[in-house]
Amino acid sequence: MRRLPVYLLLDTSGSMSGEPIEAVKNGVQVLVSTLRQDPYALETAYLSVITFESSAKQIVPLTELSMFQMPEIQASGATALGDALSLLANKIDSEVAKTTAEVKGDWKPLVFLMTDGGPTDNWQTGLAEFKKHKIGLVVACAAGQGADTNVLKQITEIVVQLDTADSATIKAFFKWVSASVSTGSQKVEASGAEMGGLSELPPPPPEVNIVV
Amino acid sequence: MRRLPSKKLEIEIGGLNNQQFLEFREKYAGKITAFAFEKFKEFQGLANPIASAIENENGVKASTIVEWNIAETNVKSEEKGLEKQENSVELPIENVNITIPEKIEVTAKQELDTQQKEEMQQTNNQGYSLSDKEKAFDIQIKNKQITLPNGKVNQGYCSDFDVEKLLPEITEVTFEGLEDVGLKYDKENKQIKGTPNTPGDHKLILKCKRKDWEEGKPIFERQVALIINPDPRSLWKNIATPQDIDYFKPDEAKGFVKVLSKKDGGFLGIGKKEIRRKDIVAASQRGRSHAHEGKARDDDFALNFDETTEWYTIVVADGAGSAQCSRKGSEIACKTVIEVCKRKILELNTDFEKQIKMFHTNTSDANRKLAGDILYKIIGVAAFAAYKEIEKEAQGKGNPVKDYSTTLLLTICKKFEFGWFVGAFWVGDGGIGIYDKEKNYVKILGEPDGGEFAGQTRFLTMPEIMQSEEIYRRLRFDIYDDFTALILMTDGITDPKFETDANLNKIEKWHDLWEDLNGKNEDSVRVDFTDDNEESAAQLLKWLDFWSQGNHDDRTIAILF
Repeated sequence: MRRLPVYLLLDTSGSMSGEPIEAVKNGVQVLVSTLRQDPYALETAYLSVITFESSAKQIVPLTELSMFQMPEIQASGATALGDALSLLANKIDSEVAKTTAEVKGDWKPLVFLMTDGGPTDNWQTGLAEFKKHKIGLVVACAAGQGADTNVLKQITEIVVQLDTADSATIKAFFKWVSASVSTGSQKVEASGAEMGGLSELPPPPPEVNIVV
Repeated sequence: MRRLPSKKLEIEIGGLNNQQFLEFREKYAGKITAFAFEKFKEFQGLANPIASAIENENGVKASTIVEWNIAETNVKSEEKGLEKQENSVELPIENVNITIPEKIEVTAKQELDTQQKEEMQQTNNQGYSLSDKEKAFDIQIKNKQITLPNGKVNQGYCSDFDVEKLLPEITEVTFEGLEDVGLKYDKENKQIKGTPNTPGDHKLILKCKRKDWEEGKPIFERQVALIINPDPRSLWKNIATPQDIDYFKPDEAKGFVKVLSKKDGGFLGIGKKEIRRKDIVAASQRGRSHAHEGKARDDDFALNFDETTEWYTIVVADGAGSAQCSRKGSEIACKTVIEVCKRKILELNTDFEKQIKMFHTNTSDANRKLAGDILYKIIGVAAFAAYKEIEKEAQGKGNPVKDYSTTLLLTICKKFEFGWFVGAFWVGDGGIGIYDKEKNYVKILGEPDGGEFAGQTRFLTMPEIMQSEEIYRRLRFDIYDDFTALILMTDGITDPKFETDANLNKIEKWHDLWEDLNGKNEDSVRVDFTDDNEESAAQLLKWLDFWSQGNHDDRTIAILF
């Protein structure tokens, strides 16, 4: 079976502490429990969570949606975005199967990145590694006004911004992520085609602004 | 006792010293059912956080947020303004997080007299009085990270749960709510076992006793989350395709071409032998992914046996999921191929059969070329005609031809005294194979057009396919000994049953498929391949309903047996 890998890259730097990090945690839970009700996603979507603060860590390896459990996350430290991107590149190499004559590969991964600040490390190095990989879709989310959308624009064309990093807004973002994963898994199962761009995503809620 | 749903309440208790902190805790005695220290950096990894809290001279740091799991009762009335906040925050059903901005005043300096202290003596949920040691233990249990692997409805569940490994002081354990989910705790083997029957995020209550437990001593309890996933089968809807759509097509179809035995051989009607002749069975079913959204089946098939010439024609086609009118594309392709093959075979049969016999006698390249040329005039022309018909339809409707994209797998075959002549043409994914069970033999009649990336394939409607050289390249023919089955199928079957293109050439996979068709499957659905068994069509259609995770494309299969 071809899996649809979904990677969540979550900023857990110190500035996220308090309400934002709680909202992210809840958001992931809402995401997972919503997707579990969707037969397309339940059967094809695999989920991984990478958090980044002073360094990046894969806190959940690529896991079948039905077996996913959200671990405790805390916010502290800096914003090693570059480290997160190179770790992601690494994990895509080791976790996502490529199609060969012998193996039916996975679908190209969907990546959702959320950050509330500017990177504090040498992020271009990580970006260069990440760019070498074939990704189905990358959505970068600037949570609040502190995030550097110019940096995010270099990672992907699809950048969205949340006006504030409060729980209602973050939740709205995760609901949209969940709808996007549903659409993606439905697309691969029903028509065998992968998602290409923003136009194929469900329309974002009012709290999620598209950065042009 | 009816259990009230617990809620998470976040309370900012900035600037408290240890004494104040403990008193704060006591103030809410009886309402606190769980106590989480995860957010206290300084308590991380400590076995007994409460003891550490007392020892920590710096006290609980300002602006630290503590999570309290408080039974729903009383809290609202005690904290003014809380109710309003609670309503104003929209949050998930299970957890309600409320941050109380103002500090909670704990009257640290106020001396509590003995009597007051006795009144405030802490009890746990069971109503036992707890000693300090027990209080600490209670908190220790509640802070222990306990995770149970997720389960699935209707799928066996077995998870080791050895509480002694978590906390050596505990001996007896029971789970409240486990049986409601369809599971049991097996004390002897220290396992949670059974077959879950209710999907959802379940909150179980773990109850345990200390090793030194005796009557009157407390039973400790805490909440443990258990996620049971729904059975994906129960989530798939089956919405009938609306009849008023353009190019409506029934959600399923089946076909059987009965070719009766004939008498042959002998001389002047004497000594004739009854010769069994093969039949064709086929079935096509809309995939679950289409059924879930009430979308039409894109696959199609068509069968023919011409009694005068004794040629069989079998076609299956898979309309591209991404193309709007592909269900019509596949239908036109199948119908046209049958029609054209019938006509062309009648026209060319004499020459064709003569050439086949020559090819059998001498399989020289020249003879192969001559036979191939005639085959091209039949099935190559049929494939091209199919493309043309689709183009005509598209133009008539003012649609791009691409909207009618379809794959095409077709064979024509006939039994001669020296064996079977089988010719094939194949564009796109799916598969055509000649399978012989006894001789442990399979021959694939072409190559699947798998793309570089998953989900890319070729279609009949691509102009580059409809070049004579390209059509020629895709022709396959040979003379074969008798066989168990000639099978044509769309990728709705090859994906789940063969998985990869390489596997399509593996005889084991064909043995598995044949056994599967003959009843070796989860649902024991058997297709009875007895000669002239018309029932086999309905059986084959039923077989198509097999379950395969993540494989819910339309499925079409045609079998000559």
